[in-house]
Amino acid sequence: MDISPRDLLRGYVEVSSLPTVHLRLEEAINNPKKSMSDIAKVIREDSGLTARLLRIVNSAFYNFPSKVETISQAVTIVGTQQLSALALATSVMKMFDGIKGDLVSMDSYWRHSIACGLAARLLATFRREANAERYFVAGMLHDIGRVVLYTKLTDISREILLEAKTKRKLLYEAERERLGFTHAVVGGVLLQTWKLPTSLEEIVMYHHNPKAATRFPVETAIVHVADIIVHSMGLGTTGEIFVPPLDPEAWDRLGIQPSVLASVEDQIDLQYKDALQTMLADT
Amino acid sequence: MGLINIADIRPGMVLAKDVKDRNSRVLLTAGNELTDKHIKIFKMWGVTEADIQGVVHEDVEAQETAALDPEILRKADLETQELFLHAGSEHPGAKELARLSTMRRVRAMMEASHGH
Repeated sequence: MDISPRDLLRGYVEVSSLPTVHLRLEEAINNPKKSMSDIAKVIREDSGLTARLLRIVNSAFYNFPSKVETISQAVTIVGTQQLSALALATSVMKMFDGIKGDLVSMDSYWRHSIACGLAARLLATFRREANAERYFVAGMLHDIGRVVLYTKLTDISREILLEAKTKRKLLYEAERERLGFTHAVVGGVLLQTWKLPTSLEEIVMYHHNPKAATRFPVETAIVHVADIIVHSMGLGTTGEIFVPPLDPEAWDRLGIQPSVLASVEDQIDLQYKDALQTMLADT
Repeated sequence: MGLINIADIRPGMVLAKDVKDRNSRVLLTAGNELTDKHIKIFKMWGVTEADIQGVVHEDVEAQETAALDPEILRKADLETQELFLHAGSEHPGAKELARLSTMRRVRAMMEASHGH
């Protein structure tokens, strides 16, 4: 196949750049002269985003004792970095809204992605990582390259899915055989095009090959394991029908006992339904 | 002694080793007999397992599955095996995920059969 991930994305105008609200949000957060109220102001200018964020902040995701009514409150309670990460997650979902799931239903796609986001966030919380929300975003976006493949290479993707199913192969192996690269690389390159933090790009690029993640090994290992947990729970799919193999070295990087998995799954069960309702509702 | 999941720990069991929280702070020392309150506190501090005197991890799991309908268990196990075709279940993490997957499937099948 004589096509590179970059070629694929070059002709994909619809997703070639992120909504400008993100650039301004990042700018405001990274500018020490800007205050929390400046950041709230940037969000409020996008009424759809405002509504989506308030819904998430008021969901079982946080379980705050009282209702968060305004973005200013949300910024104070949740934090600017965290809110910005959530804003990114919902905006990317919004971006791919119009896509028909001919090969894999988009509902199933987002179910798997949201569950993976929850799992990654829980593992990060368990490890006491700062800003667990960025793991939620990383989990949500880990398979974003598949949407690109399904949209831009629909016929070939259909054949790849069939090949994996009939020969009982891992889907990413079938992708590599046919295309010379996997959805993970396409996703990584897409995030690079969007100028998102390098950590996100590396996590997405190497979530099936965590050994190669040299700059963000723990972050990548978290999403690698989160993906495997969610596959084994059978919560949605982005096309893969098997549980991907666990990299023992990535597992060791997490420093968790196998007994943690039962409580992570319990927590996912508790949060999953509400997270779906919150993230998949239209605004 | 055996490492037992917090979900399978019952009052009356005796600790074979100190139970520590995630910051390695000792919550309860070896030799203590567990009460409901201890178990509740372990859960609150994020403890996921404890070393218990006189029991073996595999026995507790075997007891758990022995109470189930063997036909449902067999079906759930086959589904899990297919799902884990490429993941294997030698690694302790994958093994635990496969066990949880089978139990999840058993619960789903039992709920479905009670529904009819």
